[in-house]
Amino acid sequence: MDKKTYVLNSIHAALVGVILLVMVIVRAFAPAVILPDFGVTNLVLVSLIALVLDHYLAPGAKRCYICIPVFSAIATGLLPWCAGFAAPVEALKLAVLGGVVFTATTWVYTSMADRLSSGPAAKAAPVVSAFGVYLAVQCLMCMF
Amino acid sequence: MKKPVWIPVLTIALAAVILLAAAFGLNGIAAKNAQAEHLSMMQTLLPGSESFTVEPYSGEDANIVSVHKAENGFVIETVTYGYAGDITMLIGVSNEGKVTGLVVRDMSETFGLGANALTDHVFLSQFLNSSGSFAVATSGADAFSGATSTSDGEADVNVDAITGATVTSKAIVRCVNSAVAYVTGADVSSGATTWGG
Repeated sequence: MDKKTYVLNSIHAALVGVILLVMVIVRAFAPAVILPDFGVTNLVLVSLIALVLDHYLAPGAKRCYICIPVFSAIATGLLPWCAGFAAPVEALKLAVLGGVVFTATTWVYTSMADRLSSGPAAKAAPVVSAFGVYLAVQCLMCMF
Repeated sequence: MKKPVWIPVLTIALAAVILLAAAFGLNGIAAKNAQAEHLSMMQTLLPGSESFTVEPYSGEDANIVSVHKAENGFVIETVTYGYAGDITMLIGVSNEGKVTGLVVRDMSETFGLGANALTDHVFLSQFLNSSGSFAVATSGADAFSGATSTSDGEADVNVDAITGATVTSKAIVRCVNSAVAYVTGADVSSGATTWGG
């Protein structure tokens, strides 16, 4: 079970990498396209996709709440800088924001999904939980 | 059992290397395509124009970022704050001060509301072939005051706002006013932008 502890961070880093790679390609070949920003709502969306994938790929894996903020901060700060979407200072801010957002999202999502993962609806629990959290975040962000 | 800490480290490192290679490899193509697309867009916004020269802007209007001059007018790049973030626009204005075209280049407005400014032809076309100062006209009863219709009395043209996106509409109007004022020489500090957003 210990081996699965870091699967979530690996999935998150890979997902951020793939999204940024697509954005680099779009920026090169379709410059008129408006690319998504690195705001809280989009960071939460990416985090939730990683969490849902982790739930199906590594069910029951224990979370390491020390590694989660560290690795997610590195992924969300370093990778946009490598892709040319953030200057060093912005990348640093993004790293802090990404680490906080991913950790908070993981905690909230895990609390919900673990309680829903019982009975006949267990298979849908990850997606339902993620959808609920995403809607809540969108509502919350509209207040600011 | 030893924990495989190196797996996320390796994933991040691999992703970083791939992104660096892609960014550097496509940098030249991206710059070339962006330049060609920018020129094509400006020619569309200002029909009849062929080449543009960048005109230095040292005015006080904080909305204006850059000015591109052609034989028959200007294409002005503006940035102003909307509802959820900055809205970047390109606005074509003829030498006579008439708006010949406008397009939103970047924004992060709410999907389904303010983001409709990208594609709402009815809203955007209200500016075309018009000159002077613009203002958002609110039609119908105001939910708070009960007023049936309010608008800036000093404006030359009142435009209908995008449904559910008054702040975004006002931001776009502010950009257009700045662009037109630059060409016509109107005083933006007292006329074009005082109605606010």
